[in-house]
Amino acid sequence: MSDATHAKADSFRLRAFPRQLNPELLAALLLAAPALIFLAVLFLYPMLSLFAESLAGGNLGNYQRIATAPVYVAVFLNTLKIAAIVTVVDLLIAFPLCLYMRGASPSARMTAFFFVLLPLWTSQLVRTYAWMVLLGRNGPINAFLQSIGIFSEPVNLLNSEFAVVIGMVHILLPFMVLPLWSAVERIDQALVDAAQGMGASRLSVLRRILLPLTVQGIMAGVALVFTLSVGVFIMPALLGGGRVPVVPLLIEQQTTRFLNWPFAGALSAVLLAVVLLTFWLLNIVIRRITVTRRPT
Amino acid sequence: MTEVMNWLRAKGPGMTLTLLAWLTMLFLVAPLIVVVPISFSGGAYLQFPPESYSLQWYRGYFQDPTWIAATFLSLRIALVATVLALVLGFPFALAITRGLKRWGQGLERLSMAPMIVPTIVYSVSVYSLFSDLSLVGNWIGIALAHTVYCFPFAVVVLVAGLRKFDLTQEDAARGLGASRLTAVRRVTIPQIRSSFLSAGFLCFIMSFDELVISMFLSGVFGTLPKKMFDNIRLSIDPTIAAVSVLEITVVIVVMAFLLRMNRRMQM
Repeated sequence: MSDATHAKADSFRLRAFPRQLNPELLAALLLAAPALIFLAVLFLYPMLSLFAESLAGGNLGNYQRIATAPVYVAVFLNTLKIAAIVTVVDLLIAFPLCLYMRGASPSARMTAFFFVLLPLWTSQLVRTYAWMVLLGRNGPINAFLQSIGIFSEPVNLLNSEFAVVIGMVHILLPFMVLPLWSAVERIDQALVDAAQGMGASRLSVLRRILLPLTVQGIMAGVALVFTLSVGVFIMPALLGGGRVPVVPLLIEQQTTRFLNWPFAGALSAVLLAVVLLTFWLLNIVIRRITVTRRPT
Repeated sequence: MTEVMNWLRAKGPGMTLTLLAWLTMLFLVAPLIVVVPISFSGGAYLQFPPESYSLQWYRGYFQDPTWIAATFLSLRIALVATVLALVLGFPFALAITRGLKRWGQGLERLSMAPMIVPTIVYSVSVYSLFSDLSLVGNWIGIALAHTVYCFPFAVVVLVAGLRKFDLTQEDAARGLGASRLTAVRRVTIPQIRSSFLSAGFLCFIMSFDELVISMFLSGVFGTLPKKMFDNIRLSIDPTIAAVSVLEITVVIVVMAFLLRMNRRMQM
């Protein structure tokens, strides 16, 4: 038999394979079915009908309103700006923390993990309330700043973008640390030692070894924190005091105050599109980075 | 300032990192610590540090039927959502780690979708569906929506547990005459018990703490987070600090318990 017929027979066999009723596959599908049906009914269907409603009667009016009114564009840009600030600050905090954990003793590492995870397990409302106390006029931060003479009288730190950013940095930090740590943990110490042995400065070890080896973890953390922070509702609502307009607040306002569900649907669709677009772009960046870094 | 810089430079980069790490941990934990003295405050309004101490805010919480009702409502919703997420999530996790080798990845990604969608977006959409089914204002509606919200997290934890599990053990059990179901029930499940516990705990906490979905679906009555949210918005009296301390205490106790369970299971 020629090679061609061999190939033909193989491809035939491959194509025929799924047609045999594979009991393993069938069992697995049956196992997955309840969850899939549940998600289809309670997740996919309502999401799709929301977007259908925002387009009711093939009408793009709701979307036109978002794109043309400077107010709404500004709220979207503001949301993205806050998300970007929060993401960068979280990265700047998480990276040194992960490097510290890498060099620390097992018990010190456990302690650090405990501190990172504890806020993750405690109520967001509890933490928001605590930030309101900390940042308040009579709060400890004001007292401290006055005692070291930075301010002469209490400053209102609450109800500002600053307060919202601090609160969000706090709730989202674990989501940066966890993916980053899984990358930092895997760095081979021999590479660092070798570079230092050959006279590399600390800065070039950081720039040429630590950063390139953890870039995947960094991007994963960035993607996670950015997409989560675009949807945060509690912090802008409570720490922003109405002065920090973001899309989730806008959506809530449209539904509870103006009962304009189709418009809320359109805002939701655009917000989701922004999230997905970011995810997609970051994914492309990750893939490009990992492909070019791969040794040839 | 320059002295500190010089000292740090002399101690090397390890010291700078340690200092930064300690500052970060302080940042993480400070808000949780600050609520403790406030919850014991004796004053009539929010003050830090309080001038006198009392248990009035704890008494206020336990004696106010609306707080207690909200707590029990949240507990019930969280329990139902957790059980549902695990009951749906475990077979799903089994399916994508076993039989569905090729489709597994796609299905796994699909199951993560509720995690990416902002909760406010999901809340608006599920409100429309539930108002058609007159499930708005019904705790079962919130529990169902919370199941969707928790499901991806249950799957992530369970899949991680199942991936670490050595499949040949199941094959061995089947070789010894066990059915597939028996093998999973008597060999696999006991060994990934700690994943079950973590997944369950995660789902429970997430549902118990969830505000936005509950806000949209709860109608007149309120879950604990909704009650806390309204309380913070309207009057920031220290009752919420007492509730916070109670929650933090419970979480620390459960975390310690889980860590101990984990350690015992690894031994």
